[in-house]
Amino acid sequence: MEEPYILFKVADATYAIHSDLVQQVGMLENMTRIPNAPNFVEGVLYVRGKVVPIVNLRVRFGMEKAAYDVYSRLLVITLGNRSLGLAVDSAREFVYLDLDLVQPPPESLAGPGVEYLEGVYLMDDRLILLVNLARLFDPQERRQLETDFEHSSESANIEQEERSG
Amino acid sequence: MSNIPQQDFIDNFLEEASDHLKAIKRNLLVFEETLTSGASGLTSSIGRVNLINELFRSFHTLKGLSGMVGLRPAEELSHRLESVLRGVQNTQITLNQELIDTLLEGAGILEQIVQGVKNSEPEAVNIQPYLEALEELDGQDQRNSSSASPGQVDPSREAASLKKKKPSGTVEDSLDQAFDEYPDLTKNLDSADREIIRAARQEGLALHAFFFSPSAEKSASGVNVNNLREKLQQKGMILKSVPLIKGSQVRFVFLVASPSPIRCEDFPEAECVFLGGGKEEAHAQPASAEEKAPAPPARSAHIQTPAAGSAVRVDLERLDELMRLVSELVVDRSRMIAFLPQVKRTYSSPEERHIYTELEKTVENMGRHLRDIRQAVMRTRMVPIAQVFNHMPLAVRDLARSTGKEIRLEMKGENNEIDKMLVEKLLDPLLHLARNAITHGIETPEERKAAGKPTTGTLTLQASMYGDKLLVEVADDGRGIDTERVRKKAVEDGIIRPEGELSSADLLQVLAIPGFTTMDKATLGAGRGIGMEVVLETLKAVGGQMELETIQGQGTRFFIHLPLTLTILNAIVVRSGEELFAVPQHMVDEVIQIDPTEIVRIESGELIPHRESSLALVRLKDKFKIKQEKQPHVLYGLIGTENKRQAVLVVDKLVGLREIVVRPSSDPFFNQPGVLGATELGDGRVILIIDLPPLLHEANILEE
Repeated sequence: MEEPYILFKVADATYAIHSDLVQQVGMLENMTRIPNAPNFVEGVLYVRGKVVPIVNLRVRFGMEKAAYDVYSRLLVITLGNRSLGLAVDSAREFVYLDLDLVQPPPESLAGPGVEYLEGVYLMDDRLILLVNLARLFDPQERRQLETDFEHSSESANIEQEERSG
Repeated sequence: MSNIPQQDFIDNFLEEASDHLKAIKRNLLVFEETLTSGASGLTSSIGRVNLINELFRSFHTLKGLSGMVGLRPAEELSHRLESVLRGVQNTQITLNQELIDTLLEGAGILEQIVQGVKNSEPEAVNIQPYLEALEELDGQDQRNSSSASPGQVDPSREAASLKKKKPSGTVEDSLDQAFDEYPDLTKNLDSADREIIRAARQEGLALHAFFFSPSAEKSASGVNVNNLREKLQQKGMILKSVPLIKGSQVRFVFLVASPSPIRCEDFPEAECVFLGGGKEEAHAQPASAEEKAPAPPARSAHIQTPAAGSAVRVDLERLDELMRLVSELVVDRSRMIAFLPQVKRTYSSPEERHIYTELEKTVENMGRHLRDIRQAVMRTRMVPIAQVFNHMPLAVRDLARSTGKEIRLEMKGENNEIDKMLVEKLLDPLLHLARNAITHGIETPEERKAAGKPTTGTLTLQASMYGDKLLVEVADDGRGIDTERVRKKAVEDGIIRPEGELSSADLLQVLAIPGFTTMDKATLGAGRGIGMEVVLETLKAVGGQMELETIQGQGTRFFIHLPLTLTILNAIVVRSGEELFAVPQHMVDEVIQIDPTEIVRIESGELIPHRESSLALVRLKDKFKIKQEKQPHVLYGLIGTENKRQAVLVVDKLVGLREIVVRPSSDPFFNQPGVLGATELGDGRVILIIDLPPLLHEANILEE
């Protein structure tokens, strides 16, 4: 069974998201910062009459933030009745994936976001990761996110202090 | 010929049915009150009779409605309840406490059935056990248990009920005769209907049958079966409404009882047949089958526009859509305003300047019109807060029962109007507060007696307007909150420092902490330490706030402040660093200019002198971690009130006053303290709307 997917990259890894979940792909412009939000929330954007929070997936996966470049894209996705924007390194491919060929994530696989992996897919030697985004941004996991955030912001503060000191 | 739009039909049914169910519950509770207060005399007995009649009508209408949508269980059940009420009307059955409970239970089951239709699972409710229980209650009627099949009325019982009235077989005979001419109608009448018809005739009411065929043309000119029904209800009581289907043709028959004969010419849209009865002095309409002439065109002299009959039910979603469109226009207008300076520059020559002035004038007019449209739409959305208050008596009664407490519920100001959406959001918080008040606040009758209070506790719900806000108070005269005990527990749980004082605002925050409870064991009603958090969050999501006042031994009072409407606000746009924010104007008491040298640093915070006194201040750039290169020479302060105390939010610059469209966001990633929502000023950029009180909260704490 083939299904349409959009491929996007975060820190050299390729992820796939079902195209039904993607409202639009756009540029990351005119973002407004949300004070005191979790560090992976970049800000908000106005998309088709709605105010949508933008999540930086790099940061969400625990990596350093990277400066945006010409390839950086905004993926506006629908999760239930939520709309979320994902800041990704690039989003350029539209493919059909045969869902029967999706394999469970290998035990040995380590790396950012691995706990949210639903499966992996091999497409001509390329490894494509299927992430359960609904779970990644589930408000039920919010407290977890908040503790994550507290740790990372603490370490960020320490870094800053170290630098300024 | 048009088809009946099935979904519209069902929607109408759902709305009407739930209205009637609400009315039933309300009337039963009012009746119960007359029982417990033991009021006697003519007025109260007339009141009781009216209540019973209204209850009867509601059950009856429900039966008709259910029949129209083919909902057999609801039809059967309403029919049975209606029969019980008929017994009450005939004074065969006494409407006592037990029966009120039974009827309330029945209404509850009907509600479940109706809810089932709403959720498209109508088969979920089994009414049999209830019907059997009802049967037992009817034991004194020597009701034959073999006639358990509901929907059927035992003939012997019918006879019994009729014997109480003056026997008048002749009336029945003439009735049957009249009906025989309308086989369509007759074959749709069951024995219960016939009984009602007879009863109506015996009371000397006039009977009419109205035949109505819906059509696209009629519908286009605003005539449909619903407004015909409403019009008929103005004139009398609809005893029966039957859809008659012949091939693809649908015809509705309404059987109407009225005190005097109805003027058939008032109903040109329907075929009207007089079936006799009514007061003598009214002119009699010849009852004849030949009167099947096509409906004559409406004559203006007879056009009636009764207030209730001209009302339209509108789906809230449609109003939301309308409001959203108005909001889009407001945004479009601000885009135009943003272009005005450029237009002014482009057309600066004397001969072209009028282009700018004309445009400016138009934009200004547009603003006025938009405000008018907005207000009109908002007015349409406003509903009396009674819509939520009306749910309370039943809940309070149940709680009083289950806790064994005596509670009197007082409601005031139910006529104050508020946005429909807010009314809906208010229900759960109010229910929660009422539950808390009854479970924890109000003492048992013995405790109250010992404390020298009246044994009956009072729960007061009061709505009142101030400025552009609505204040809802939920007050009980119970034991109050043991602040010291809460403080100790909070210290124990490590929530506050041992030396910390507990202000009433803090108390509320502590009570809202999930899992926090001073109760040794939770009850079903409340005490599980959840709920208050949800209440606060729900209120915050709609721009509301809550305050608490409690006096030990005397009671607790919650104040809920709500905006009357949500969508569009006047806001002060401010700048801090390079970031813009909007502060709703209604949150700001006063705007002041601040000379930074006047700011006094104290140990825990900052103060500025203000009118012989001083105010605590909090800087937006600190709270929101805003980068700032250089210190401005002049600062601005927005004075607001939090927990009845004033404090100042300091910003760099005032940008202006704008009308903003609130885009609420309940997304957890966005829902931060001090942020109410977002808006867009016309350039596509989002700016955040500041929720002033939470930001000022810290200043007030520091001042302590």
